[in-house]
Amino acid sequence: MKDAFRLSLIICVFLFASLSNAQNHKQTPAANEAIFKVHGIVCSFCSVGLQKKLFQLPSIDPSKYKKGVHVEIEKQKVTIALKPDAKLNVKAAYEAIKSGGYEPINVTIIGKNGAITIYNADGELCTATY
Amino acid sequence: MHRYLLTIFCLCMTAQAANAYPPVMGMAPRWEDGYGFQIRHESYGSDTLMNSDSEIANPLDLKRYVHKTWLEGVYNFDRAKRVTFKLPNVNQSHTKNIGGVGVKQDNQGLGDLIVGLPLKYYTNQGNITQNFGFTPSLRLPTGSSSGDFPISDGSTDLGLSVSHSYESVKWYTLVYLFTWINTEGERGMREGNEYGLDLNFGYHPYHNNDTNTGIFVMWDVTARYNNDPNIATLTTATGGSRIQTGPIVVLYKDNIMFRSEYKYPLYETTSNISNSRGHEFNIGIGITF
Repeated sequence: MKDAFRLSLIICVFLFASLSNAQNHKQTPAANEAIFKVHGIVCSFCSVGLQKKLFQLPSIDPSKYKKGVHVEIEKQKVTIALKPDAKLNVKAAYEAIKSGGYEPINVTIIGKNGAITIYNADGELCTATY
Repeated sequence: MHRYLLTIFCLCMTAQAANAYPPVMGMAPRWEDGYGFQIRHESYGSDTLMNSDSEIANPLDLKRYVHKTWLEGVYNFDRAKRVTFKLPNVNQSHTKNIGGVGVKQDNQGLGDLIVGLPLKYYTNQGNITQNFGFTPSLRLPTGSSSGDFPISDGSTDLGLSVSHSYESVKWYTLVYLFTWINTEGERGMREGNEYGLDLNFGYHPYHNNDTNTGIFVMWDVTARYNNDPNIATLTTATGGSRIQTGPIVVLYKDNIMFRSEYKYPLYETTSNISNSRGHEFNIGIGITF
């Protein structure tokens, strides 16, 4: 039992040390990105599941963020980086989020010229480009 | 008085439903085709001898210590349907009163394989996710039932559980109610049925979105009631009831989770003269894919 306690303590110290270097960066919307409002995201495993499923979309740019996906759990916000000139298949992205275990509410797509398009929970266009 | 209250409490619980302990990855993965493994080490035991709820003299230095290292795994068909397995490697020792002499016995080896089929109903609303779970489980007699101090009683047992968990970005609660219905196994051994309740209250003080790391702290309350094993039973099973409580710390990074848990014996009563379960310690590390 003492060995287990020591091992536990060592792992705690190691993980706390790695956490202490971490910073929460505020994300500002950028061109070629899609920002999803997703309900039910509460922990790291939620982020992993969404990342795993969204990464499979062909329009994702994996060079940005972690595999092209950034999750802000406090805001229930999932940002994905899109390849230049790629068109996001909104329904496929919603399916990916659902198969990750969560509920997509809407998505805001920022094109390369800063043009914004918003789709609702059913994947229907609700605000045209402006 | 306490014993009667606890018995009534346990009976009320069992009348409602039943369980079979959730792994670290009761929380994850949630995605379709997700899977994961964890290794968990569990230790308990003591040299404190009890008769009912009183500590008694122990001139023969009777003791019992159990160490189990579990390999556990989960596969998700989708978030509502998953399958789990748990296989322990058991290292157990005790000093037993045989004819007025304290005789030391020990045993080591693989224990009984537990296979579960958790079914969950999720709701996601805003930054809150909650689920109701129902898990039928089978405990298969893969452990050895031979020798003076066998690891298994050699029976196939049925576990049933119901649970509810509520989780927000900051808070977490889990209510877990279970039973194991133990059947007669080899050599006439029959461990008593087990009934239990786990309550977890958690707080999520830190999460970093960029590194996907964080800390989760919880407080656990464990209540158990075990029917007496029959006289032929030579395993570590004992009858009685107990309430344990203590902290749980969970650290995570991406798809890796480390969990450490201590349980303090708040209340314990044995149905015969038996060693106390003592302090309990669990550590586990899990990974999901």
